[in-house]
Amino acid sequence: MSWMNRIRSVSRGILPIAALVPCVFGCVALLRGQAVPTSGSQNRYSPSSPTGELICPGGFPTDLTVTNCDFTAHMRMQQWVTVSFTDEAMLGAILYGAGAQIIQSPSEWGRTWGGYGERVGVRYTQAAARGTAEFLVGNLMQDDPRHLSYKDDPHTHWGSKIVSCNSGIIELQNYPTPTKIVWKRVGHAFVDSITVRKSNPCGSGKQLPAIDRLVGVAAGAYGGYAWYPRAENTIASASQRAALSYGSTLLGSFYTEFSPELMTGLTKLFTPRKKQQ
Amino acid sequence: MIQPVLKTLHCFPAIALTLFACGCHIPNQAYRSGDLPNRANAPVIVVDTPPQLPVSKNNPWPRHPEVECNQQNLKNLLGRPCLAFLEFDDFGETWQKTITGSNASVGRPTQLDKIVELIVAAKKQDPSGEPLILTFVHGWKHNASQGKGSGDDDDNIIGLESTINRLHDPVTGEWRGHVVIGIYLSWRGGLISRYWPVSQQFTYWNREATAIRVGNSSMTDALIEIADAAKRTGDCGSGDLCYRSESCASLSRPAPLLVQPPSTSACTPLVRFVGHSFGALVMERALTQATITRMEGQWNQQRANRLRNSDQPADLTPLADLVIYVNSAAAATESKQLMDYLASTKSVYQPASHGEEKRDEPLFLSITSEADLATGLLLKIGHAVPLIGYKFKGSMRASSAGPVAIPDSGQQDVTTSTTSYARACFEPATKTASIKTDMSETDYYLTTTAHAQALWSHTVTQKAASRVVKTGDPICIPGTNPIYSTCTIGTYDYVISNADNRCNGTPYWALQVQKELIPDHTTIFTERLIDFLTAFIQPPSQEGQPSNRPQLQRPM
Repeated sequence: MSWMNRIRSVSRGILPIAALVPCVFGCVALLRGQAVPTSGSQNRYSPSSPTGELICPGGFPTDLTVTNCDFTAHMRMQQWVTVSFTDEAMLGAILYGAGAQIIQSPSEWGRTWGGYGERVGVRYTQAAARGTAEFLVGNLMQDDPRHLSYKDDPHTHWGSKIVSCNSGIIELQNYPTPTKIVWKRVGHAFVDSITVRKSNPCGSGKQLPAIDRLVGVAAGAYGGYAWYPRAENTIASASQRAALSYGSTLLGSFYTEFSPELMTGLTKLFTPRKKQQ
Repeated sequence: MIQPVLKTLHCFPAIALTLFACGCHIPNQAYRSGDLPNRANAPVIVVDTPPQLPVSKNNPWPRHPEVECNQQNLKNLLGRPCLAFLEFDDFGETWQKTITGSNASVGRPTQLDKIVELIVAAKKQDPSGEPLILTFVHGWKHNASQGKGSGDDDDNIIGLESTINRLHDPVTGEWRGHVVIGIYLSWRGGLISRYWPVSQQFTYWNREATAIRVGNSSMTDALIEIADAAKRTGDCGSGDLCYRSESCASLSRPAPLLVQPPSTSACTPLVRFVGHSFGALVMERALTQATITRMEGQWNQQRANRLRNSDQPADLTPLADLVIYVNSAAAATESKQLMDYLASTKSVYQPASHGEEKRDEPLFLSITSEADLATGLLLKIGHAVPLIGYKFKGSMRASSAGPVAIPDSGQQDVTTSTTSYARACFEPATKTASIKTDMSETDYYLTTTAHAQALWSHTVTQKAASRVVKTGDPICIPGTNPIYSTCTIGTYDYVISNADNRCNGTPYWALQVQKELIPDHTTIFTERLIDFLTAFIQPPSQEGQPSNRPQLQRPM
C-alpha cells in the first residue's frame, strides 16, 4: 500500500520537528520567567468567612467544595492507575492499535488478528510504562501535571490571579484580556505540554519543566522494546514512538486550551429551539 | 483466529481483568448505620467547623473521625449545624430497620427516626421556630461514603456541609441566627469505581433505571415524613427557644394536617428539597404523585367544608416550600404530567399578604446550565438507545401536524377536546388557560425540562453589573412584572423575567442559566448559585413582621 508507506515516511519527517517546536516554545517561556504582577486592581478577601474564596487554577470561583489546590497523592494514584492499567489504558491501546493496524505499522506484523493483538499489547505495555514512570518521577518532584488553559494558568496575565495566599488571606489580582490572544493561547498550549507546576495548596506553584512527562514518554517509547520486531528497536524508531506519545499530550493541552469554544459550539448545536405554533 | 490474539494478549488483560473483578465494583451497602466502634459511621453528624483556606495537604477538611450529633450536640444546633443521612438500597428500600426499642419504633427506618428527632430539635432551638431544613438527593456516581480519612468524603457530602456552613455563617449567612440542618438522602449512585472511568460512563442506563426504582414508596414516605415533621404544630413547649416567639406559642396546639391545613406562618421551618442530576429524577419520581395526592385531598376537603357559594380559593399545603432540581437528568416526560396538572387546576403560589400586586413564586424550580453537556447532550445519546425500542413499538405519540382548531367566539362554552399530544398552558396574570401541541412525546423524552425552551417559564439574561453589592446588601432585588428579580453576582446582573409567549405560567418553573452561574453538570455547590437561588428563597421573617411566604392556592 503506497499511501500507507507515504503516511509512514511523512510522519517520520514531521514527528521530530513536532517534538522540537514545543521545546523551543517552552525554553523561551521558561527563560522569560514569570514576574509577580505589580499593577491592576487588588482584592483582599477577609478570612472571616473563609470557605469559597480559594480559586484553584481552572476551577470555578466560589466553589465551596474546594479547600486545597494540591495535586494530592490520591489524585496521582488515580491518574496512574487509569492511564496505565484500567479501562482508559485498554481503550487507548485498542484504538491506537486499530490505527496502527490500518496503516500496518510495524510492517512486520501482518494485518491479521494476531498482528492486531501484538499492536494492542505493545501499546498497553507502553501506556503502563509511561504512566508508571510519570507516577514515580512526579512523586519525587511533587508536581501538578494537570493541563491548564492560558486564562487559568497562575503565571499568565489574564483574569484573576493569586498574588499571595497565606494564613487564610488570599490576595487576588485581576488582569484585563490581553491583545493577540489567539497566538498567546496557541503558544501556551505548546508550553503547557512541556511544563508542570509545583503542587501547592493555592495552586500557584512554580513552573517547572515536565521532567516526569519527558521520562514517561521515553519509558513508553522504550517500553515496547520487548514486543517490537528487531528492526523497530532503533533509536530513530523509538524517537518516533516518543514523538507520537508526546503528540497525545499536546493534543490534550490543545483540548484544554480550546475546550470552552468547543463546548459552546456543541451546546449551541444541541440546544433545542422553541418551535412556533 | 482468536488463538493468536489470546496468545499475544495473555498477560496484561489477565492482570486488567483481575483488577476489574477485584476492585471495580462499588458495593451495595449502607455507609451510615452507626455500627462501627465509637459510631465512626454515625447516621447524624455534626457539620465540621469551616476551615481556614487553603487547608494543608496533611490536614484536609472535613476532619475525621466525624463527630456524632448525639444528645449533647443535638442541644446546640444554633451553634453548630448537624447533617443526617438516610440511605436507600438498589431497589429503593431504606437500609436500616429498628429491631428493639419502643413499640412505636420497632420496624421503622432507624435513620428516618433520627431525622425526625433532628427536625424536632431544630424547631425547638430556633429562636423563632423557623429553622432551615435542607434535604438533598445526590446524583450519578455519588453515595454517602465517608472514605478512609479526613477529606475523603463523597464530594456531595463536602458540598452540602460547606453549603450549610455558608448559610449558617454568623457574618454573611442568610440564615445566621437560625438553626440550619441538612438531610442527605443517599442511594447507590455509583456502580463502578472511579479507577475505571470508561466503564463508569456505561453505567448510565443501569443507574437511571435504579434512580427510577429508588424514587418510589420508601423515598416518598421519607419526604412526606420530613415535610410533616417540619410543619406539624405542637413541638414547641415551654422552655424551648421557639416557645418565646408569640406566633409559635399560639400555634403550639396540635392540629390534624388534612382537616385544616395550617396557614403559612413565620413559625414553621422552611423546607427545601434539592435534587441534582439523577437525584432530581429520584426526587421527581418520589414527589409527583404525593404532591398531586395531597393537593387533591386538601382541595376536596375544603370544597366539602366551604360556605355555600363561596368562591374563595382553597389554601393548600405543599410538601416543601420549594423543590429545586439542579441540572436534572430527568427527561421532560417526568415533569409534564405535574405541569399539566398545575396548569389545568390553575394553581398559583403567591405570598399570602394582601394589598399589593401578587407576585408568583416557584414551588418547583428546575434550573439547568447552558454549559451542562451531561443533560444537554449526553442525555440525548443515552435516551436515543431506548427510544429506538419505544419507536419500534409505537409507544411515542407524535405532535399534531398543525394547531388544534379552536371553536369560534360564539361557541366558546361548547366543550371540545383533542387526542393530539398536547400540554396544558396557564398564565396566572390573566388567569387564561389553553393548550399547545408544539412538542411530540419524543421531544419531551430527548430533553430535560429546563433545557427545553418551549417549557421555560422564565428566562435569565446576563448583562454588566449595574451596582456594587456590599456586605449586608441584598443580592437579588425583586422587580415588577414581567421582571421577577435582578441579581448582581460577580461582575454581572442576572435579570429573571417571564419568558415571552410562555405556556408554562404554573408554579413549576423551568429556566436555563449562564455558565457563569453553573459552569458544568457537577459544580453546583458554589456561592454564586446559592446567591442566585436567594432570589427564589424567602429569607427568614423578621420579628414582628408578617410572613411573606407564598401560599399554594387552587380555585374552587
